Amino acid sequence: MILQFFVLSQRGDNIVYRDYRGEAQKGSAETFFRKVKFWKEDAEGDAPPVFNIDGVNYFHVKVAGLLFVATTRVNVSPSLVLELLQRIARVIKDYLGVLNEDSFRKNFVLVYELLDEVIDFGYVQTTSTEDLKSYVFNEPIVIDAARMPPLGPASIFMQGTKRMPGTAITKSVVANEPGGRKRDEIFVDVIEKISVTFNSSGFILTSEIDGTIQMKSYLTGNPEIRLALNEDLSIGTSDYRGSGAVILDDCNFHESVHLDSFDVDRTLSLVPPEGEFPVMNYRMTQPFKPPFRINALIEETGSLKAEVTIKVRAEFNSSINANTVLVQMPLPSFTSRVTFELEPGAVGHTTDFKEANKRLEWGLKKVVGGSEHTLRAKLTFSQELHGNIMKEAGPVSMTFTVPMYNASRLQVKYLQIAKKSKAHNPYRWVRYVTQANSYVARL
Amino acid sequence: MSSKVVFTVGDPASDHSLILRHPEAPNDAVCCCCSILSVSSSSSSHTFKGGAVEEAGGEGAMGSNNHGNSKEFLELIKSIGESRSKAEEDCIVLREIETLKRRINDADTPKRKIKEYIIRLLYVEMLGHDASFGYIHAVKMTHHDSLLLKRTGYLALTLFLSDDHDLIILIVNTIQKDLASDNYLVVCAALNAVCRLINEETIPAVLPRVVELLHHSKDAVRKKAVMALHRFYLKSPSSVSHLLSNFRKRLFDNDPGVMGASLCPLSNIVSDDVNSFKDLVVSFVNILKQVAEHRLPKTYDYHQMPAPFIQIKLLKILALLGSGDKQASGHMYTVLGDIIRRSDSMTNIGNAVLYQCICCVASIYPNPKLLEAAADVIAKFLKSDSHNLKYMGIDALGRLIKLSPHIAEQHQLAVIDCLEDPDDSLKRKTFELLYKMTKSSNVEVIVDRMIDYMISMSDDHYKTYIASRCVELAEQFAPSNYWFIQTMNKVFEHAGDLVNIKVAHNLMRLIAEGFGEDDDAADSQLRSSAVESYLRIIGEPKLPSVFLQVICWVLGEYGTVDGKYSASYISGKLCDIAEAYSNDENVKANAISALMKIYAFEVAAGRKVDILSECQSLIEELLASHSSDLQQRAYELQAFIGLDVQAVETIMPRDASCEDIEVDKNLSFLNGYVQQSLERGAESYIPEDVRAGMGNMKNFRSQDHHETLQHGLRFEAYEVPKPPMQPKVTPVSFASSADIVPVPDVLSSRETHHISSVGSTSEVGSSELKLRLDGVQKKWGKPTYSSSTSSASASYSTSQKPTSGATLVDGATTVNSKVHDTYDSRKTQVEITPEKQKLAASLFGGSTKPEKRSSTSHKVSKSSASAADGSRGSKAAVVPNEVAVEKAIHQPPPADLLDLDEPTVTTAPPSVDPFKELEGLLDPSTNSATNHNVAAATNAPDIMSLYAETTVSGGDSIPVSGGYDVNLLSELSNAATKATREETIVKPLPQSIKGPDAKDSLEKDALVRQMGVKPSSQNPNLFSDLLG
Repeated sequence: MILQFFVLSQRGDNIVYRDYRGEAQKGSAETFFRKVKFWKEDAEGDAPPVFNIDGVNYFHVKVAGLLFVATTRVNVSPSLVLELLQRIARVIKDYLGVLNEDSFRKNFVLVYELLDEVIDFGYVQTTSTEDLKSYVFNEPIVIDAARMPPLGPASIFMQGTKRMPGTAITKSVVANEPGGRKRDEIFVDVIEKISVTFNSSGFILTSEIDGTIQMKSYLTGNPEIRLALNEDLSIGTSDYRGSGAVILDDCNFHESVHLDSFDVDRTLSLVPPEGEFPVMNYRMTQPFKPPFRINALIEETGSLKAEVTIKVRAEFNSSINANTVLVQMPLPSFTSRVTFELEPGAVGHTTDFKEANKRLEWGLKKVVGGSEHTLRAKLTFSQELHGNIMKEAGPVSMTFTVPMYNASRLQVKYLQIAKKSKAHNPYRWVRYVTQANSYVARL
Repeated sequence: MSSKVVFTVGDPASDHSLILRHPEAPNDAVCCCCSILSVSSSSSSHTFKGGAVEEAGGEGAMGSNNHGNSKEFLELIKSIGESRSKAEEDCIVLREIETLKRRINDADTPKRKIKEYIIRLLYVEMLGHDASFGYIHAVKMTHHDSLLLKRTGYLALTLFLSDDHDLIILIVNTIQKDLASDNYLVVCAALNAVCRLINEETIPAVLPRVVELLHHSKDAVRKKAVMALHRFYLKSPSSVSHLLSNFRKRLFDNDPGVMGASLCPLSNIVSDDVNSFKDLVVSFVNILKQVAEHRLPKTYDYHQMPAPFIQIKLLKILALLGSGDKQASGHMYTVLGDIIRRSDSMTNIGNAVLYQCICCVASIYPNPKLLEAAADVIAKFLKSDSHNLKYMGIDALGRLIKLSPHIAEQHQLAVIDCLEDPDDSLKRKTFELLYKMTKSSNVEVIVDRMIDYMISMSDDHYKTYIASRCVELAEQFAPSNYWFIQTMNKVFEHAGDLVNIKVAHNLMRLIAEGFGEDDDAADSQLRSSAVESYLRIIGEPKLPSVFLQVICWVLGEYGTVDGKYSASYISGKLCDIAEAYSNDENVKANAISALMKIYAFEVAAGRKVDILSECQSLIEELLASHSSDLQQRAYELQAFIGLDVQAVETIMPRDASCEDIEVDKNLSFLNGYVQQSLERGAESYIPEDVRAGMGNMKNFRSQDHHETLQHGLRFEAYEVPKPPMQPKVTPVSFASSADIVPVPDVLSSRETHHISSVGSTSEVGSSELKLRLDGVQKKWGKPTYSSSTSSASASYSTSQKPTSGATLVDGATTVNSKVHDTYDSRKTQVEITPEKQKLAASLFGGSTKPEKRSSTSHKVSKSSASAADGSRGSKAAVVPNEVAVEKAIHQPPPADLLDLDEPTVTTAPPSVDPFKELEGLLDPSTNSATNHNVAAATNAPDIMSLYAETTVSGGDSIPVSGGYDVNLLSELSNAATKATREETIVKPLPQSIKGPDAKDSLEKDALVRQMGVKPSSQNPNLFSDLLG
């Protein structure tokens, strides 16, 4: 099915190269990378996932900054190959714990063994982490993804509240814990990406949520799990049952999920395979409350001056914090200088004017729910303004990550693991993350 | 842990006993074995250190140990990752290669280090450098007992080598041994290598082992063995042809994985040879039945569908086996029905199985119930909102429609909806289906849709495809002629440049020949509707070239047939087309040909041709065109207009575009003439080689002339060279001129008769003329006067005289040549005397030279006359008498001679130009009209040449001495010779001459010559003035 498989780093270095049939020339990796690198003259556009050079089809996906590439000569289904590349990346991540260039290089022998078992003579054999465990016995070399923060009063206090740092999910599925003892754990992540467009009056023009429920299982013995969602969840219906309902447009499930009781009480039964996999993907276009509201204003204050006011309000609960918030706004191309004025008492805010592409950036390290922040910027132009300034500037775009918040209100009510004995008590972790996919406010 | 360490430090037997202690848990045992082996390898050189680390950290400690041992490797990777340029990276790698080369060849390096070095070589090879120096060490590693080292060796070899590498031979033995190992991990590693490294030559070495492994206790091993055999089959089918039964047996393996793996090679083998596996139909059906009934473990479910990919594979195999076989298909009906009923159409994988099931139902012998079930599934697909399902529905419908046409009719509305879908893939698939379900009752709507779609798309390749499909359907199912014409017009209008030229030819043939129903009224109606629609379409702004050519052709052939449109109207339209598309030579060529046809039909109908002014200007423009094709057509048209009704009908018959053209290679129509000539004593045809001999004789005469020149040169060496040359030329010319004085009258007479006579009458006329010529000399005067009288108009007379002049010149040339041959020796003697006289004259002044020369010429002429012998006395007397009769005064004769002298001098140019003209017309013509023209043209030049030659022979009779009978015989002999030459000349005419064009060209040349002669004709007057 496929001729070659290779993984390239951001700079085009060959990390892994596997030729299954010997039917293509050896310089495929260089050919591919040169093509991808210079696909567009201005280097802004990305190369398409599938393209053809000299009779060879190249399929690639980008995962964690690495390019996973497969080549064929015959006409293979593109969806199949792209799905295969994604699954190979996932299997390798399950083994290595963290998927990046460093871990790849250190464990490339293990990766070769995995590839040997996953694909034979170009044909796919299995992409199941569970099945591969019976064939590949090499231990991965685990690298430290992130150092634990130094212990302090706050850290001690937080540890007491049964919180687990985010790096816990970077463990390898097959590696043994230091001390030789393996802990039964399962992580469930509800990740939503939000796309919202506001008009100049602050009203929502378009809104959409792309969500996924990811599961990473470190359980031994593969027990059955029951996962319950909102009881008032409805899918694909035009009926409006009330303000409390969660209405999804569409969703699909992993093949190991049993939907027998889904229609009755919105419960999923599944026997999760080891490693990471998406339990459910869903999409929602019903109106929802956005986590942030943006108000932006720009007005002339002189023949060569203007003033920009951006106001951001966090609409979620005050017990939730947003991280790595970044507000960007393109300015007129003839802007020569910008001075910023932050509100009194602002902590953790950074401002910058990018001269190269005439854009102002406003970074907020942490935004507490319910709070409101304002930025004022004074612009100085290099030439007189002709016409409407509002057409020369904007729109305002925003990126953020809000943990333990989801806009759709889809909830994991409970996560039940079938017990084998009273003493057996696995750990269960549920996490919610909301991220901005395309968050734009027009002037 | 401590006890394990002790065991390791001890003897290898401990490992074996440890394995035996855990027979109930094979996996765990093997896992422990691996761990122990690793510990063993690591502690072989650091016994105490390894043990200590083991006690402290356990498994994790082992990891750290590996990390420590590979410090150099990690440094290598890090430095390569940090290098900023390719050159820097190359430097690092080259240094690494040197290090590895030195260390790996060191005999004292421990095995564990070798393993690391091999891994580093993998890295080096991956970065594009040559690591072949280390290949042999990888081969050695495969011999090692340690599983890790062996595995690493195999991995390295599969990456380093291809199956045609020289080192393959070295590892065959190792692979054979490993295939027989009792550790299944070792066997699996070897099987992986087998698939990659074994080539056609080494298959026999490992084949028996692999066959044995088909019965191994481990299902993973059996599965890999099946895959290895499949690989052998793909590489070299003959090597495993006797083992195909093994695939059958593995089909019944306990493990579903092995069974699934055997389906792949069986699918290949069944494709190659269907009949040998009919007996497996029942087995496949049973397996499929068990799978569908959820007999497999739950782990094979995918979205609650039991082993869907195995089902799909089985369905494909059954489709191959059941194709065209009623008995084999009979076994499949039940299980297929079950699958269709059980499969869940709510999931993608369920739909995939259903689709494959429909494909199977469509391939095997038809079963009414299954077809109904398949139709129901297709109905679900087509009604779905998903484009993918609709596409599958359309595709499945296309497959079933051959078996059960009425299924498609039920879903016509759904199909039409798919046509309007914005998804292009779905549209194209739908058109495929429509193409299959077209009938006379639905062809109109389908082709209309196709044409609309074709208009909207911009892909030329697919546009061409759709256009050809439309044409094909229209030809097969056209409900009426009118609809057919309209459809063709649309296709050509929007895709004319993309449609195959054959389609245009087929359309023209259909219009010309009708639909083969022998219904003239229907055919006529078809042509009328075609003409009407084309006249309307001409108004469109931009039409494809091919379409315009078709339009011109149809208007030319049938534009005026039914009398609805006048010739003026149609010809005006054609001129508009030629003018609007003046850049397209093909269109203009077709337009001019169409004009020719219209005018031909008008002439044939007896009506007068009224040429429009724009048509005239178009013709004149094309006469001067750079394209020789257009020029030729224009000349043909111009010549055509002047022909009579009978000729036009013969050359351009109505409605004969599809008639065959017969070519007579032997020119049989000339046989009658040749026979008559032979009967009258003419010589037979002289082959080309004989004529070559005559050429040699001419060369001989030329040599004589050369000797004379040399003689002359000697005299010139002593005397003035120019004066002697002049007299030699002048006397000959004058003599010839004197001899041919009466010739013009005869020519005029002959031509008059030629114009008035046709066919055999002309031959009779020729005979009479000859008799008249021979019998009575006084008769010569009357024909001359008759010719003058018959000249009705000045232009007519003018056109005739140039031709006469040209012929006269040709005749003069011939006569001149013959006279020269006869009197060569005598002239030599005469020329000596004039030279002496010239020598004396040179003593006088230059102003008197012209007068002297003229006088000398006259004397020479008289001397020639007096030199004749007695028997010719009467002839000589006749000549002076004739001169006396025509000119009473002595002074006029010299002037007359001078006048005839100039035409003689211009003999050479005319004799060359006609042949050049013939060469210009040599290009072959494939036009039937041209062929007819050629046939007509063949006669005219033939007759003309015949009379010309006869006239010349008449001229020769004058100077011949001897009895009257002798004269007659000589004349006949000359006539025969001329006839032979005439035949020679006529040979190339049918192939190259376009009669009317050639004739016109010759006339024009003659005119040019005539104009050229006039200035020189004034010279004699000047001399006369001087003389006077």
